[in-house]
Amino acid sequence: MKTMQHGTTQGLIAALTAVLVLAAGPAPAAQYPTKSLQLMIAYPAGGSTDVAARIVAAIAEKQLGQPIVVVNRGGAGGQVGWTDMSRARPDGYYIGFINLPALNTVILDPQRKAAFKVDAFVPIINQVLDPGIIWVKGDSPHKSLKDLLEAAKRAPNTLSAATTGILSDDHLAILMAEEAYPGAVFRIVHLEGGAAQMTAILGNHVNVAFDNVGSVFRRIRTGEVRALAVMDTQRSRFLPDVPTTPELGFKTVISSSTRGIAAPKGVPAPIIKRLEEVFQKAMADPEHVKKMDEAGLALKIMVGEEYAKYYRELHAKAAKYTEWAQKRPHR
Amino acid sequence: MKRGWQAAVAALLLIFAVFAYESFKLSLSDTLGPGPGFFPFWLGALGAVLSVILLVQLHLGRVDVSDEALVFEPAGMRSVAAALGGLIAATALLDVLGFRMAMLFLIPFLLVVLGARNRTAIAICAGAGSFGVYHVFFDLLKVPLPVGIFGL
Amino acid sequence: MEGLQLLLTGFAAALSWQNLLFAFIGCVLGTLIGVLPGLGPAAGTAILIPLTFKLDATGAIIMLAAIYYGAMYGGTITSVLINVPGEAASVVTCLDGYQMARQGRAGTALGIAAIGSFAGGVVAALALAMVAPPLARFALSFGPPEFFALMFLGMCLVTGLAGKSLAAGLLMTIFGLLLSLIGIDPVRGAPRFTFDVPELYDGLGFVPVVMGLFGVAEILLMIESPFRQLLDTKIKGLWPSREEWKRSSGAIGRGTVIGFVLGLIPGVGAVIPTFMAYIVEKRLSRHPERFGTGVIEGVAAPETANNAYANAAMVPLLVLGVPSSPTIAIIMGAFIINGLTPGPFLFKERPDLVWTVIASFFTGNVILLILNLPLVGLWARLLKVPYQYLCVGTLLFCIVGAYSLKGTVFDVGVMLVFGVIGYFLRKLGLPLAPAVLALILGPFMEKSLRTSLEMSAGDFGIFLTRPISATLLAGAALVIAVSTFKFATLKAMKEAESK
Repeated sequence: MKTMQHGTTQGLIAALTAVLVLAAGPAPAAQYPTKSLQLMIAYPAGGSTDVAARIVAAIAEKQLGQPIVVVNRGGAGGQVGWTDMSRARPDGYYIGFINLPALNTVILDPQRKAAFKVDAFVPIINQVLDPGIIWVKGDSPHKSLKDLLEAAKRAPNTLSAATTGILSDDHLAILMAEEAYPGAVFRIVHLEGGAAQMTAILGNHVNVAFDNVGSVFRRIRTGEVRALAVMDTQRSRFLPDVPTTPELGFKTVISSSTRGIAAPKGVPAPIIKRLEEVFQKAMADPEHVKKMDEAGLALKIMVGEEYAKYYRELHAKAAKYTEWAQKRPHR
Repeated sequence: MKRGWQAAVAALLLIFAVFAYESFKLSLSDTLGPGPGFFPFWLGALGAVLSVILLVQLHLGRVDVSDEALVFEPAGMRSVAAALGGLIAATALLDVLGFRMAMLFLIPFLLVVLGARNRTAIAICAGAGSFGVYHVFFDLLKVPLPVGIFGL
Repeated sequence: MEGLQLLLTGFAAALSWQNLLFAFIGCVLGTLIGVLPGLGPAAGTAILIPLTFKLDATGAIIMLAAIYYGAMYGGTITSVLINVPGEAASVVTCLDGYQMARQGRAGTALGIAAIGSFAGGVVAALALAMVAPPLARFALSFGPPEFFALMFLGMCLVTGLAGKSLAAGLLMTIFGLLLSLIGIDPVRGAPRFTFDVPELYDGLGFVPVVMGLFGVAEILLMIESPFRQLLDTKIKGLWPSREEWKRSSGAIGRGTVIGFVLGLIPGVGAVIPTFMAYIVEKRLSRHPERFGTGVIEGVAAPETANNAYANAAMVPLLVLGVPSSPTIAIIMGAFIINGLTPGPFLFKERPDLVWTVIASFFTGNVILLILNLPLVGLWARLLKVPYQYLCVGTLLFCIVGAYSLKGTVFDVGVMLVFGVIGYFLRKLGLPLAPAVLALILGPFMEKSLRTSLEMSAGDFGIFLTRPISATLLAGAALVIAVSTFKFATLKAMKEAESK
């Protein structure tokens, strides 16, 4: 009698456990993904982030076993797309690219009233680190960064400097440059994107532009436009002849735009792990490396905790300059 | 028609006033130049002023408004109201019912409101418009349409 | 001329059966994308980029470019047949094209659109081949102040032509401008007029609003008065009359020039050329009051302009490496993914590719014509469906279209709201065109204004000290003066008559 009861109890417990496990929620990582993923890009199609994302998505989906559908949700400098992602269901089927420090400044700028905070996203893996670059038209009178800063000091608020968007990494870089060369003041002109900068510079509407290497390096190679400095700790592989800001004596002027994949907070850890593995493998794939090289986008792969740490550190740095941007008399 | 215009311009006046007020709350200018409220504030203010002028002109009969009366045919209005009602309901329930179910109800409803009587045609349209369209867009074009809580 | 020689070599390559096939596929897909709701050229081209990974660079670009100008024509089809513009460039065609369809002349409207598009496209491609580089350099002199002045001029032109009441036109313009400012301020990043609704952060969305104002409103009007359905469902032959040909040829000529010149300026967008061409035609016509009732020039002008624009817009991309619009940015992305950099360097490094692509614009335009002209009769026949099914079909079309833009039901709601608004506006006879143009141009105008002021550190004089913008603003002042004068004299005449 006792054995049978014991057996029945055991069976009951087993059945209950099975039911509980099945009802527990998202499928275990081994079965994920069972349908296609959405990879959101917070910018319109055709830009650097988009190009890089499509390259990696095409490779990753082969290993993932499910299609990765790239979705563009541009608008408001990324705020539209990231708001969307922050409200998405954390089931692992909606992930997106985050651009730093753009995301940080969106969160930090009180005027923007962002609907999400720093912890709304779980950084998974970083793909690109595109260093900042200062460039002028080919026939510009400013031959070096020092020339430029000196000119901005002699006639403050006269030289116009273009960014690709308000509180973008370019905007913060201009502030860093002003900080490093006291007295230099630029007239900051916010344009939308690299294409607008190109027309503005070629058409002589602005004097200097702050952007990223990936957007502009090809035109530098042809000589139509000239780079004054790359704002990174080492020279860019794509522009080996352009000096870096530390080399020129401005070691605090370091700026870049990083692009990586993140998921909304709450996605189960096993799924995050799987995504980390898949994308890390995809980014190491020789075809990916080759295509990114052709596109002029420097890889800087940071996975998991390393990326999360970078995210937090950058947030602190961005906070400093965002606050300064608000207080600056000539915004 | 004059009454209609007066109503429309009055509505516009209200809208312009709201925009101007909201813009005023945003900063109109800072040290460098116009702020986010600058452009819309002046536009709203200008619009409000023009609306008032037009209302006065209408009242005094100085505006050449077409002489035909604003006609609202009662029978037609019923159909419009019904159709709108159906559309609004379907839109509100689109995420709940899902595209296929919502359209399955909306299409025959609208067709009947508009006077279609051929049952087979209605049925075919309902099917094609709901399930047919859904699958063309989802399977062929990879454009997802809403799926509701019933999985449809 | 070296250009001509290179062009001929380009032709030899463009006429290869593969490149012809790619152009053909591009035209077909483009037309489909233009017709289908919600899939604007931008979305459609983006979806097809992965396809181009598998083709060689030249073929890929030929196909994407064909999709782009093919979609311009596809958008026309829905504008004419059901008064629903698929995208910005097709809005103006609704004004007269749909009226022509209601008179049983849908085929003629579509036909002249196809012919005008072809003429505009070919001439633009030819001009592109001959004089691209110097013209492109000129276009560079358009900076933010010039853009503002250009758009301001456009607004003045449209407002001044808004039917009976100048005041009503002005009010509609301001209404459109204010609506366009809803969303996150592009310069400072502050949400404006969003009342904490996150879906409004990116603005109202041009497509849902216009689908509502034109498409849904028309349906509501049809539901109310069934006699409003097609006045004549019998298809009255497909060819325009002799007199219409004459009027159209002028419109086509002027449309080509307007579309081409504006296409060269990076950042203008497809809407301005179509509005400008329509307005110019209306001003030059002996019977401007007939515009809006179904005159053929009202279709020929904007259609020619938008195809000329589409071909000319390739110039900033190829010559300067600057994309003119989001769709062209995608084509540029295709270049980059294939390891190519559009720009003057590409002309020197890979002339074979560039000139083959340019030659393919010709072949593409021919293919588009051959493809669409015979189908015109077929499209026109679609209108013979009983009006209940046409209405419901159009509504379904609009719902799917509005939804598929961003995947939210919110846009469908916006469309319905504006459907109701459009219904009342139409009943009252208040003009829609100024509001629509303002809706598109509003954000650009504001951005240009504020960027100009950033450039000048707050000095408004910048608009008058720069030659091009000063000229454009003088033109706008002229238009305002003439319109006010015209209205004042008309009113005086009327009062004199009634005494």
